[in-house]
Amino acid sequence: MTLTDTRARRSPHRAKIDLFPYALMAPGLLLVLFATLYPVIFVVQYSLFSTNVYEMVRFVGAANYVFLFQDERFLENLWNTAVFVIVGVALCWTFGLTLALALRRQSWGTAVLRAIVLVPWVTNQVVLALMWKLLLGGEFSPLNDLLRSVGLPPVNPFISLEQALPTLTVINAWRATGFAMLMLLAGLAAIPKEVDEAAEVDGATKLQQIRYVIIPMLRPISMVCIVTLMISFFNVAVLPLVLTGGGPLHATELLSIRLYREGFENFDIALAATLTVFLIAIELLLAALYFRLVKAGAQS
Amino acid sequence: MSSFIETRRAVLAGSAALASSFLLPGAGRAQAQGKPFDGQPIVHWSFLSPEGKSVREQAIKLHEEAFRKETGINVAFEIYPFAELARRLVTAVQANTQPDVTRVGWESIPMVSKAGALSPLDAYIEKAFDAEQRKDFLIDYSPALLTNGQKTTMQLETISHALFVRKDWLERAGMKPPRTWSDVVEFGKKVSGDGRWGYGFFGGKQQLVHAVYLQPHIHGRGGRILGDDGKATFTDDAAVRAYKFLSDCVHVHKITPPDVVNMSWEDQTDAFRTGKLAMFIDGSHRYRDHARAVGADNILLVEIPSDDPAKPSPTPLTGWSMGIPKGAKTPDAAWQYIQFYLRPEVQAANARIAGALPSRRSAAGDPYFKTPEAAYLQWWLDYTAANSEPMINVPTASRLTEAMVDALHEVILKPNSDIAAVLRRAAAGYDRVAQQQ
Repeated sequence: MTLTDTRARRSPHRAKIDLFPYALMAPGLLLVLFATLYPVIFVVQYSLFSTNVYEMVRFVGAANYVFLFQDERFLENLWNTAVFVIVGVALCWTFGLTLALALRRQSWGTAVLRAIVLVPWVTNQVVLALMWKLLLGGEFSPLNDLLRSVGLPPVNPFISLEQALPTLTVINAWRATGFAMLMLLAGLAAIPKEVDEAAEVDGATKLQQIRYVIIPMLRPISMVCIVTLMISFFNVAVLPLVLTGGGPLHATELLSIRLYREGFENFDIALAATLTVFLIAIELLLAALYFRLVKAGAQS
Repeated sequence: MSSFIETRRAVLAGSAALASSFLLPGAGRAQAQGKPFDGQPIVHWSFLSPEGKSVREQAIKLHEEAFRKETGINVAFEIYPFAELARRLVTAVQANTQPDVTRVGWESIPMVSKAGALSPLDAYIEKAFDAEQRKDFLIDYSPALLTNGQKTTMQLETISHALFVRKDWLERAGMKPPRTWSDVVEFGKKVSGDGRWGYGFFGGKQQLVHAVYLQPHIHGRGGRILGDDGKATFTDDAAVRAYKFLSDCVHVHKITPPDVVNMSWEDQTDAFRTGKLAMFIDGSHRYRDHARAVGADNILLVEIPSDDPAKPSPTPLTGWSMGIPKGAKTPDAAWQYIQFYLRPEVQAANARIAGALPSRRSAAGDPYFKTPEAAYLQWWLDYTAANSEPMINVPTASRLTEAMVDALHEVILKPNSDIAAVLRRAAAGYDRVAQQQ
């Protein structure tokens, strides 16, 4: 007889709600709640005050939010972040799927290639940023030395108001491709061989197989992959900070960089807190979507 | 190899001189007073480590050994990137995890002080230095280093700026050292091409320290970046001419690569050290490393030019300070540590080993400053004495710099823009946000 059985016999009305497991979980749960809720309350409170660094000076209500939404730079940050996240995730998923399909078969060669594709994902973002800055950084880059030697003009997308954000987006998508590839490889492994074979027997071309069989069957894992990447891309700060510092002008300034600048360079804690609340709201929405998709995937 | 030998010689000479300085009568004051903090551990936050290899770090190693021997205080270093020190300090004071003593960068002093993260040092200073001795400090008592009239930090070293010029290229071009911006353009045009550029500056927003060259460009033309009321004034004719000059360097004279828009300070110094750049403005603290890279004989230091050959631009002064964080557990031991680094003999040793300009005038009385090896330091001290000003230092310095850099980006990326209008917009944007903060 187990402890639970004994307790259930003593109070038959509570048989369905056994508090004992909850009591065991309570300390950990409280700790997690404290560690997550306290900072949220902290930033919400700061966002409603004017501040002198960490000192709350005066209650200003929604004034910080009004300032933010009237700030053209914030709207630019929002647009940049939307492009960076949405286009970046789309590219990442496409690159990831292409590579997953190419490296689907198990062999020594594909194992090596998979590891190579994963390298950018596991490499420190500072290192990646410095590498790309060196490669594409204009006059002093080895790539441009090469271009000049064959009579071509040098390139530097990071000093172009039009090219800087797309370049940054592609570099970040390249960085995360290994992660997308891994998730999609896991999804591909779950597709029974018979499905592929049946499509072949029905006369489907490779492209048709991908379009009508593989992609629909990868839908649950693709959705999880996309939402995970979206959350991850929202929080990317180091790569653009080192690569462009948010410039030229504010062309590559994402919300995460603005948050860093306001919080840790300007020490405008009120504005940084307001930005944080805004980011938390977006990320909570994405997290809710994520759990819904995971649940749907599990049910299907 | 020769530079290695020179460095080694400097370190050895410095060690001997430093050791002997502590044996001189009066130098071992603390020894005579006993060791009130013997065995006391203190934590020091810095971006330089006594275990490091740079000349500045080698100097620190020697100083630390001497300090420990003299006081018995055990200093534990915690190393952070220099751009992170201030941020960490402010948050550490909030979380009560502050060190006993910390380095504070020039640009961070007003903000860190405004955040209440540093303890006032006035009581310690009054006990340690009389009014006459306080005059010995080069810029410590300038308004830029006082917070509400109080001292919260003491300068360990002075950083002065100058135009670094490739002397060998200048001689090959058969030209005299540039004294005006027109001279810079003329020499720049002669050396630009084949992957080489005449004049460099940095516009990347990775580190917001652009005032080191923007200030002399604007102030040297008779303008001001900030007014007495704290409002942005980089909208006058001098500022317009400065921005026009910088833009023209890229588009008209073609002596500066357009890549400066995303170049960091480090990128610029790398370009100089790798023989791709002829001229740029840099600080005295980096001279030794530049000399090691391109050869001391190939570097010429020139006063920062202006439009008037008879009157160079004022050199902006900065430097690293030390302070005691608010709530530090052992402030008295920390002050003893700071005081040690303020001794003229320690600063002179620092100049010998690391090439650092002292923060006290009396340190320059050391015989080392009369040697040919220290000629460049003496040159810098003369320039500083004749024509210098503290670099702009306000709590909203990062906002101010960013506004000025954004304006620079706009002027360079849109060469036909109305520079005066761009500057007015940038200044108004800074004033609006700075007032609100």
